[in-house]
Parts: sequence; C-alpha cells; structure tokens
Amino acid sequence: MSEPYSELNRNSIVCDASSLISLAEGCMLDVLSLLHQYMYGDFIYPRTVRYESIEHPLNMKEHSLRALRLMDYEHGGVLKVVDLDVTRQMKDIMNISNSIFKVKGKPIKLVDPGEAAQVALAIELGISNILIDERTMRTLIEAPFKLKKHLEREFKKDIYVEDRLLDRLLDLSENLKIIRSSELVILAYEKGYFDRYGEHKQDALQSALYTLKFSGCSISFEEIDEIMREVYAGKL
Amino acid sequence: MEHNASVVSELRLLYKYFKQRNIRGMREMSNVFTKDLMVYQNKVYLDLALVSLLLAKMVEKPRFWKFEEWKNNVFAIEDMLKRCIELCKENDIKSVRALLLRVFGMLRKVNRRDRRYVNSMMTHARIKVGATLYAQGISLGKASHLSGATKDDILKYSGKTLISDRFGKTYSVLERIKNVRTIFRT
Repeated sequence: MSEPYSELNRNSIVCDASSLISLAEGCMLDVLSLLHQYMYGDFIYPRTVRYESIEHPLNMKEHSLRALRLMDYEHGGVLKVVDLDVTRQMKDIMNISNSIFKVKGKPIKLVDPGEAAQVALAIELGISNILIDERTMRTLIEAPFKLKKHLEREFKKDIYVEDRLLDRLLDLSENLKIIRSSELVILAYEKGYFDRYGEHKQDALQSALYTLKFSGCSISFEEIDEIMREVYAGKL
Repeated sequence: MEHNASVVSELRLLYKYFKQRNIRGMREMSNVFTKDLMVYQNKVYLDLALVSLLLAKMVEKPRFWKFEEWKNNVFAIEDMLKRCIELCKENDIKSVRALLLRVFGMLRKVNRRDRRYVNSMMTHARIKVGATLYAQGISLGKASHLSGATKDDILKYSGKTLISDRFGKTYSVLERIKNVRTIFRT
C-alpha cells in the first residue's frame, strides 16, 4: 500500500529499519498504533527500508515473523510505504556522507543506500522527523565531529575532514530532527501505554527501555537513568 | 592492491600468532583486518578477519583438540597461511581468497563433528565482525553489507555491548522528548 506523497502531512515520521527492528524485537510495535492515533501525520518509509525490514527478512526463518508483524501494521495503515523515487537524492547523500572523513588518504564509506534513502525521502518531502536507532547516521547528522573523534580513537590516526562536503550535508540535513524508538516509548508511557500495569507502570517503562537498548537502540544506561529520575520525580 | 605491503606484514603476524597458538594475538589480528575492511572495503579483509577469529575460536576450545583431524589440519593451515603470504607478495589476491576458502572448509568440517550452537561458527564470526565494524564507526547498514551478517543480528549483538554508552550523547534525552511531543496531539 503506497501513499501518494502529495497527501502526506509534513508532521509525519520517516522510519528506518533499525528502529522497526528494535521495536519489533521488543514486541513493542503496538506503540506505533497507539501513537498513530495522536499523530498529525503518519509513520512512513521508503521502498528501500521496506525491502530491508519486510521483503528481505520474509525469506529468513529466524526473522520472517518480525517481517509479518510489520506487514500487519502496514495493512492496518499505521506504517506507510512511500514510492517516491529518491534515487538521485539518495546517491547524492551517499556520495557526500561517504567522502566526508578520510583516513590513510582514503574516504571512509560510512553509510549504505537504506540509511541514505531515509534521509533523502525526508528532505525531498520536507519532513523533519526521522526515526533512527542506528548510531552512525544519527551522529553524522547531529554531531559529525563527535564521530570524527570516535574514528580517530579507533584508528589511532588523524581523520581528515572534507569541510566542503560536511557543510553540504549539514545544509541538507539542517531541519532534520532525529527520534529514537526510546523516545516513542516514553511518549507512549505519557499517553497511558503502560497504565495497565498500575503501580508497576514505571517499572514497565524502565524494562521497556532496557529491552530496546538490548535490542540495539542506541540509548545509554546514563540516559535511561536520567529518564527514570524524571519519571520517579513525576516530571514525565 | 595498493595496500599490499601492510597486508603482507599483517598476514605474517597472523601466521606467527597461529603457530604460537596465541589466541589473543589472533583475535587482535581479526580486529586489525576488520579495520582494514572498513577503510578499503575489499572482501579479502573480510576473509582474513573471519579466518583470524575462527582460528582463535578453534584453538581456544579444548573439545576440538581431541580430534586427530583437527591436529592434522592445524599443520596444513599453517602451511596455507604461509602460502598466503607468498601469494600476497605476488599480489595474487584471487588465489589468497581461494586458499582461505579452503581453510574455511576445513574448519567447518571439524566444527560439524562437535556442533554446540544453532548458528554455525561462521555465522557467529560474521556477526562479530559486523558488530566490530559498527562499533568502529561505520553505519549499521554498511556493517551488515560488508560482513554478510543481518542488521537484526548485528543490532542484537551490539545491544548487549557498551557501544552506545562509550559513544556519549549528542543531545540531551529530555530535549529529544520535548521535541517528539510537538509531533503529536495532546
């Protein structure tokens, strides 16, 4: 079921495979259904991400159940695939992202088509919210010099930065706001997702955040502690 | 390959560590080859990272040493690694990969005699290499593409490590929540 892109609300969220995997692994895809009722827009993804999240894992015994679950959410209208051709923009983002950092005179090819397609779709549609649990693309957009520092630590070598390309990427991604699945679960908590657990709902939230972390969502223990302090203080 | 000299010296080290049955050394070499894989994105580095890791695993497990077949294979693999060094000097990467493929075959055969896990040792090794690439800074998709492990498996493996904790944060989590609230109706 493909969505005509002209009808898409700019408050939609463009999803990538990593977040859908984390949520599915933690059996928390129904968070999307709950939040969809409160959304101005929709949860959408490009065809490339659909291939990675549904079509490809459907052929794998271990992962096909997760793919089928995601298909259910697609059929229910919670998740929508957008068939807008963003190949040119995707290639552009890939070329830029994969040439920003250099080590030993070689560009470090950091991102793949799926990740670039998600960003390309968001930019093309003028949507600023993107859902990513994966760490590298997020850091590249939010704090590229942190990624540079990390690469320098790993390689024990200076990393050369192509400033012109970095500026270009930052220009393109200027309006993007990144969300992780953990933030969606926290918002779902605020909307009553864990209310069925009564006095244990805070413990349920904490456990859900741990589950997401262990499923690959790039949230730190420190951040979980910070959230839980706010929750126990009644600020969330 | 333009980076031939460094591969030769790294292969020499792997050969040395394997001869010494130095498990830590072989694991270190797997990380070195994984870094090379990240920079050069040439499949020969994946083979070398995998073979280093698999050899470390096989040498480490006492259960394999009870098989005569493994004891004999160890000497054959030493010879094959030595041959790989020579082939690399000649820049014959195709033959290096063919030889490494034979090593994988030998390891698989021994492993099959005393299999303990659902996933094969090779699948485990691919996930480990994929997770290492991801930890080193490459994206999840790229790590999956280069290692041959699925995104799911790399995420699951990485989720149980301290990758996210070591990386530090870019924005405060409270700031993120504040932003996400604006997308939804109250």
